[in-house]
Amino acid sequence: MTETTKKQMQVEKRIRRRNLNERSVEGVLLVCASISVISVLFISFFIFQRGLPLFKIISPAKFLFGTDWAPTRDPNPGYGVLPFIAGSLYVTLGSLVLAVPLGIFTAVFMAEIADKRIVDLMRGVVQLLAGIPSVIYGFFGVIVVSKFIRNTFGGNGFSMLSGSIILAIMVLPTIINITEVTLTSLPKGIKEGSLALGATRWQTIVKVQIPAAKSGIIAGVVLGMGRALGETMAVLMVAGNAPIMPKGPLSMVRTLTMNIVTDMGYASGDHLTALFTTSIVLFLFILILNLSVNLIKGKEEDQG
Amino acid sequence: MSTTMTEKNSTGASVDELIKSEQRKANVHFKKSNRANAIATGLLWGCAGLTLLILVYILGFILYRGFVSSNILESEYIDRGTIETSIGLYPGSSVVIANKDLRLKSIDYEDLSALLKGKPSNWGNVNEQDLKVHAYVLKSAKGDFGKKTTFLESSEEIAEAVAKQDGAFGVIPVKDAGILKDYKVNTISVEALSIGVNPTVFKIENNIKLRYIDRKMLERILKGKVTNWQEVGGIDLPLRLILPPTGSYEYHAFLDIAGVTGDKIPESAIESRTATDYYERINGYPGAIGLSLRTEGDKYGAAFLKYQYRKTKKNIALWFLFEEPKRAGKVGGVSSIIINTVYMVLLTVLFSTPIGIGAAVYLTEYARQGTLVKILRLGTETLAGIPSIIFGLFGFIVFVGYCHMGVGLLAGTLTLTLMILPTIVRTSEEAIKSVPRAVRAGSLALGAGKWQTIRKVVIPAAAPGILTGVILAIGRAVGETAALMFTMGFDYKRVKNLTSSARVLSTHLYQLVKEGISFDRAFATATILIVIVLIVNVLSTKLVKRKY
Repeated sequence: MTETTKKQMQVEKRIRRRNLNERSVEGVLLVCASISVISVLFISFFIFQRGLPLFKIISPAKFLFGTDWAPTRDPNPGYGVLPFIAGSLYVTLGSLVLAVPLGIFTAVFMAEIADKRIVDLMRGVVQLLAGIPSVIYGFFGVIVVSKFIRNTFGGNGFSMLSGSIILAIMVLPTIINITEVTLTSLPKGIKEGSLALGATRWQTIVKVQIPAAKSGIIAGVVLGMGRALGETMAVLMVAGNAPIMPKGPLSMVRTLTMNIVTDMGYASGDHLTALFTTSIVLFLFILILNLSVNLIKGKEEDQG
Repeated sequence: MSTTMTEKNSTGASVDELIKSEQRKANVHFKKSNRANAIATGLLWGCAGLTLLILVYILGFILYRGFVSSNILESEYIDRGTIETSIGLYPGSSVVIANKDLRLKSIDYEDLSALLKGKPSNWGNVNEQDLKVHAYVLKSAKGDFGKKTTFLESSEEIAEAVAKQDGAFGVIPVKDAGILKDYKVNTISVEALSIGVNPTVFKIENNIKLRYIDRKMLERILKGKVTNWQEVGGIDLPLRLILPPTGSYEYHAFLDIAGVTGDKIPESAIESRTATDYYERINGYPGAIGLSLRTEGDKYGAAFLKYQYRKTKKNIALWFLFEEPKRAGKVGGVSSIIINTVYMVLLTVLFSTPIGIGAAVYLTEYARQGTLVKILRLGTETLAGIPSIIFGLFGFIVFVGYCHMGVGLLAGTLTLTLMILPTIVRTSEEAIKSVPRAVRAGSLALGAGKWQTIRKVVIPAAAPGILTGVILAIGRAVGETAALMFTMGFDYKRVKNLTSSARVLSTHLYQLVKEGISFDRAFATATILIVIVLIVNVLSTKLVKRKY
């Protein structure tokens, strides 16, 4: 009797120890899983903490809508970032204009037309395009794209258009990937129904499948937009980096990211603060884009 | 009966016609839609092809220029070196020899005389090799020499000294060239041929000024096909081709470049008997042109026209991987930068893999679906979307600033860790999810605890998938630049400790391009990066295939 109780007690002890162990393991894992969230919170906190004090010396409206960026002018420095907001938006939209049709058509090709071997090849191509570092895209832009722009349209070749072309190549994989996944995951009935009603393959693709995959495609485009907005190195190397309001596709532009990188090396005092304030603007843009992707995805899940 | 027949007949006929016309219509429609379909299919093929083309072009271009450097150069010397050239040191021709380790095939007369004067004391500016220059000549040599030049008694002594000393070169008279086969030295060809012209050629008229001619133009001129300088981009001035005295160095070069034999020399060419004659004509006749050996040309005070040519040579080579960079990467290779990159990658993987796997395990095995998981997922996704420059700023504020790590390896790696964490979490999650339930159930049924099951059964089963994530993350870390600029710094020496500033391949490439240090080096560095990206891609796809 005593031996069994002893054994029972031992077993219970082991179970208790194991439970304790399990619980502590779970705690550690929870910490690991929270690091992402904590990082996001920390990043937001520190960027706001360092950037917001600028509004003590300049009003937010003047900061956002001012076109005069002269942080080193003494006295009366200027902290207007409108040229950079405009630059970021123009370069990003330009890249989307180039990349979205190409990306969607390529994705349709992969999902609908190509046989398996070609699909595998194209998947590899897209994966490689996504894997090439941005500094290499920038280098390629400096050597090839800017030269092409210089020879074709004149100017010095470092322009908004060059930046858009390079960014278009960089966001292409994001758009292709998400569009292809959305298209292939559409229920088969949609396509078959359309074909059975006598629609041609092309009609089915344009009028049935692409509309059905709309939310996925938009999510891909928005994600690509986020990547283009946040891209630094490639545009820094090809877009010219002049802190003025962009006038046309051939004018040199400075984006929000370029502004941070360019001045970071030597800025101090209010100038440095203004760079963090610039990053707040960028951060908010990205956050809004990310949230809208999540909203689109959520809506899709609700519908499904 | 009859009425029904006619009815039948009439309807039969109309039905036939109807069918025919409908068929015709349908045919037209089909053709139209077929054409539309064909165009559409063509468009889709075209788009996919363009995507493929973009990739192939980018990779091909960078890899090609990584292996073959090809630059357009302008120089006062024609890119045509000869082993035996009169360079004025000794009567007759001379031969330039160099130590075997010197990466040099040819040198122009200007660089050679500068080296003999001891002006660049390092080979860096000449062939981008970090070695001290040691010059050896005979005591009898005539010319302008620097203090560092060593004078020896015989050609044998020179050859022996050059063979022994790193970065050494020497000049010996051509009559002693026979001894060279007994010594381990390289012979260097000397580019000493220039294009002598009459100064009238350089006049500016109507904003036109001749700056240079290229190889094709030179060939056409020497063949007598050009009669006016306008034809090669100069002003309106008759071109007078002067023929070097028969048998001279210039005469042979003339035949060689023009690609003609002695009896096919253009009739328009003005002959000359002696060197004095020759240079008097070049200097005296407006619009005159003639090839000129530099030592002779300088003696007679000739003017020289610049020559533009494309110089191609091997770019990346093994030494590039194993030599230390010097002078901001202009000279030497990238060995220390590769080592820095390896350290960075190892540390980043060391930090991010356990955290990433832990997070993935929690999200898949422990967390109950609910608000907490939603928040955690949202956090990971948001983190993945944050631009790298913002990570850089964060690292700069927190790791460099608050944590007093300084701009260096540790601060940079921690920043990178946060950046690549989402990649590892996501791929690990997928991998863990794809482990069949039965595997877990079996382990649990055998009495193993939950953590035991995860650690000993689930994670090993998911290992290929997790590894794929880690490899993808490495690919991303190696290519990252913006986040490292203010957290890891640009020091191109090998890192000594965790806080020392370190330049990695991506930041090195950026510096080379931005400062315009050397495009050849930039292409070589980009090639290394691309090879790494290719390896990462191949490995990850192989692993994915194995998993399924």
